[in-house]
Amino acid sequence: MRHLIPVRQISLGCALLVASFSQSFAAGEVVVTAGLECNAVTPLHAKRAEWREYGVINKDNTKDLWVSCPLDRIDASSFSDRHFSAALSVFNTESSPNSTAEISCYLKEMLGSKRVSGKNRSAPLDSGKQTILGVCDSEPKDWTSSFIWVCRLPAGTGISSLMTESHLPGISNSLLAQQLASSGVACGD
Amino acid sequence: MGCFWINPLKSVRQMANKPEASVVVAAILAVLFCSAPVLSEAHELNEDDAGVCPIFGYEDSTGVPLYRLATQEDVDGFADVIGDDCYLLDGVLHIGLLENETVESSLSPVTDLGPLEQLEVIGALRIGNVPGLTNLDGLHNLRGDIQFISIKDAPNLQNIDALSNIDAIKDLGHGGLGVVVERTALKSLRPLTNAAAYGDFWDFIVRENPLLADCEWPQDGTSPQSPIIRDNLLGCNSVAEVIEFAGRDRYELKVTALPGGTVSLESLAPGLIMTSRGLETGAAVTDPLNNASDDELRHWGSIPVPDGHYLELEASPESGYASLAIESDCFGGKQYFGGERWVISSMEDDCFFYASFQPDTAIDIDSVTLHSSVCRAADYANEQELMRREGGIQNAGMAPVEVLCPVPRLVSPNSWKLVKALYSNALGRLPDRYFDSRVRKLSSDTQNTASLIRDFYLSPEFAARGLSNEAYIRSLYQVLLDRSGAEQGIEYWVNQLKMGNSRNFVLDNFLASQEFLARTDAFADLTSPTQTELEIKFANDHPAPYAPDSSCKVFINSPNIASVGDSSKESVYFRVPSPAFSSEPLPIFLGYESAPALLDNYVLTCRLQPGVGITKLTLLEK
Repeated sequence: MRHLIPVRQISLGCALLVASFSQSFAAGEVVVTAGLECNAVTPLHAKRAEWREYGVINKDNTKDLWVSCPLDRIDASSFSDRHFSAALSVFNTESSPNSTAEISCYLKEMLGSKRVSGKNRSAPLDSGKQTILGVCDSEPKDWTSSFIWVCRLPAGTGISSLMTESHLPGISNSLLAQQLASSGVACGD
Repeated sequence: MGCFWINPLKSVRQMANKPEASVVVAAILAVLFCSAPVLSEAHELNEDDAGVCPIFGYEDSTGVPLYRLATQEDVDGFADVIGDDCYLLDGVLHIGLLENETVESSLSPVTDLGPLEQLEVIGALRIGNVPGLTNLDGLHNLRGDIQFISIKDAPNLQNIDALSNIDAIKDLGHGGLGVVVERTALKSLRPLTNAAAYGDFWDFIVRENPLLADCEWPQDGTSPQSPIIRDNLLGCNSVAEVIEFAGRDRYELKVTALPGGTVSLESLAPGLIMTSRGLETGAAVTDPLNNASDDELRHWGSIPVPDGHYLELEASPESGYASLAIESDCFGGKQYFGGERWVISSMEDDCFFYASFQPDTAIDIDSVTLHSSVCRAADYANEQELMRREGGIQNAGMAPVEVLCPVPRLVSPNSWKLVKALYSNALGRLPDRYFDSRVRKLSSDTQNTASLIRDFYLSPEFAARGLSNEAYIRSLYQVLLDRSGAEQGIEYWVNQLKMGNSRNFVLDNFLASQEFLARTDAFADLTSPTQTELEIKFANDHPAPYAPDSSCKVFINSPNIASVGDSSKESVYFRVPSPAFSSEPLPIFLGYESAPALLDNYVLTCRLQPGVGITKLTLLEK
């Protein structure tokens, strides 16, 4: 029998660096928000979802939950050459031992209703673990385009945080990229 | 019992000890007065009668039997001395110290009259110099008539409810006749007001009671000959006031103003003394204790407001501060109000008014404001109960609904913030295409901070704005020091300019200041905000006047913290008063003392009562 484990009890698998920098940054503005912004892709999937203060979680024992997570993009000026980085924190509350779940996410750039670019990220995640997936320093196809994460969440897995950044070109100018790199998470192409 | 006779033996003793004619006449009058209307009920008292307390002494001046209890030990031992089966004390009960008398170190001042509860009838009551006495509990069995009640120098005596069974002030041959109340903490003379008073000449002296607003004399019988009523609160400063406010209820309004502003009171009555601290209407209420705790301030400042009177309050933030939501229960239930002026037109109970202020928001604050439609029901089945309108999300169902709202944060390096602040504050506009290169130069150390700032403040574009000297100084404070300048400091620098110094000279002084130099290191760093504030606006359409309060919690999620149990942490819990004063949005401000980590995010969870909605969420980070 599977039990849900509150996120606060999860032993995090990744020890990421807490913000503390001594070097200067030309990094842009990072928007950090909760994973509960993610929506189930259909009403049927919504019945499998549970929204908690720590994010969205698939409470169904057997079926995957597909969610879409709208992202904030702060660009502000059409004459500025800004790149886009995005990351999300995923977790696995599955309590059964050896219950590794494969979480897959797609970062999609949308121009109107048309997808103009997309990148895939996935990670096997052991029970009780949490990690971050990211796509860094992507060059938007258009300054008016929007970004969205679409993720497949196996039973017991969820999304706790969403992070985006609009920054000067170059991975060295991305705060998110440096955050992920410092914890061993690759987010470039 | 109507009134009782004086034992002839005692009367003889009184006359022997007190030959003044007036007293003799008074005694005779007392006998005649008391005997006439209630002759059938009257009886003579003898010390041997059952229930009559023995006499141990007499007042020097009047010869009236005196029972003096100077200390708490005297009170505690009263029954032992007097006997526990007597209840009628035919003389003056004097409680407390004499003027200039002190309590011996081995004894205690009077604080509790509980041991006197055996007393049912006394001739007169004199209480004086009893700073430890807060009430007269213990005298609650007193009934019938009494000749005088004198209470003086009881600065903590808050009520005389124990005297509720006293029927009348009446001459019983025990000296003076009437009521004297001086220097107490009484707010009302009830229940004495409900008693009667008889006699052609009886005193009513009520003065110097800083909280006393309700001081009608006993209403039945005769009126006092020459009442002395002064130096109390509104309604109790003259005979005219007593008559004007007769029969009206008085309620206490507690006013608190936290540091950062003042509250002024108007339109009640000119010269109204507001508190024992001497504040008056027209004067400002400020933090009197300078950084006193909230709890201390919450109970500071009170004013009795007679019904039918309105009181206008105005909260005025000092320079550099803004008004926060006002907390008050004066309008039914604990509520929060925006705005800076309120009128309490009619009070129905004691209530409080609590004004707080916050520093002006700095120019480089990053804020994110969200429409509340981003909120969702915690239980998907309850989504149908939530109505999403242009005004925000609202519980349209009949039962409480738990909602979750993501609260995004905007994080950027200080170098980025500085350049943004220079554009918005020095040039008064949005960044242009040079923004990125300026950030890049600052970040790569190809241009130092002072040089960048000079570029802005010495630019033709800045000069073309034509800022006044004061606006110039305020801008320097805001951009270079990240704070509003104190008025004194602003005045100093404005005077420097008036004396002929150039703006460049002032700018150089700011750039050379220790405060600015301490910030320059930070410009190169990415630092988390030192303070976060969440502003949530609520609305309430609930028709019920006293619906249950809604409640909210704020959680902090930390996706990149490795320690177990910290990835989602409850931070703040608060209640949202219901019903709201109106359907106008009701702002709630939450302040956090500790800074969140870089990638932390907030989630607001609220249990919304039916009719209650959230309109918007704004997160400010400094």
